[in-house]
Amino acid sequence: MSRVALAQGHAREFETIYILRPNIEREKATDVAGKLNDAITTTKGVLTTVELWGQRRLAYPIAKHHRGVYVFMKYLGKGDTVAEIERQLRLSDSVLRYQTIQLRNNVLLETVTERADLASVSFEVAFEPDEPEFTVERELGLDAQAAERRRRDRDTDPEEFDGLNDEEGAAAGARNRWEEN
Amino acid sequence: METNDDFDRGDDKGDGLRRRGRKRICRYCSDKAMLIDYKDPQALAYFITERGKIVPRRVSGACSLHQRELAIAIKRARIIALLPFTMTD
Repeated sequence: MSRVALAQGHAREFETIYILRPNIEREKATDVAGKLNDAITTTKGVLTTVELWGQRRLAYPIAKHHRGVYVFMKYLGKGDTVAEIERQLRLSDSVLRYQTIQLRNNVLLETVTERADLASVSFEVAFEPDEPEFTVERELGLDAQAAERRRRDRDTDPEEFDGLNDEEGAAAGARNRWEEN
Repeated sequence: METNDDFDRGDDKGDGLRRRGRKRICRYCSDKAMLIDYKDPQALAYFITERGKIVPRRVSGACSLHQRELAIAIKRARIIALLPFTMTD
């Protein structure tokens, strides 16, 4: 990455993806988004895109979570903007992981328009009522829905089905295999 | 894989070069509209093995430039849990 000093009125373009815990409350999610917004405005950055990807399956478990709420944002700023955003993400317990990529180097600030309407992200879609929350009881198969959820998860991802403490789930899985054949 | 005696026998002892199968063409060179994006795990999935390893150029046929870009994209996708580091069956 180029370390050449930026010309007057120019900035770098970055994109950040962060993953929130799947069982996060709506207020906490908006709180994180608000703090990132403040971080951009205080460092004179410009927010250009915010996308809520919603709850997705993680390719591997992070902090014992198998799902996460993905939020994607694009903004212009300098190194201090990124530093402040990443500091906020590090401080927040609700953030499982984040990643920032530099997209473009010398962008004239006048060529981009600020999207003030993006200041507040709506977390409506992230919390589908039928999406089971991740709890220890459910993961251990002590919950009635756990067996069903495990069976569904196994169809996409067989290696996760260890069947630990989950005899009921294993039995249900075996039955299902039998029926499918 | 297609066997082609002219290519496979290695009777061109001089340079020791052997061509196996037919030459593959880089996907991203043949279709310029396709962009390598770490946010698109479905597109990258073609370039990883069942175990999650990055497929070598000699197999995928990607050109040098795009293989390097692909490797970076796959590694970025792994960090943000869009692609796995390893998979076991």
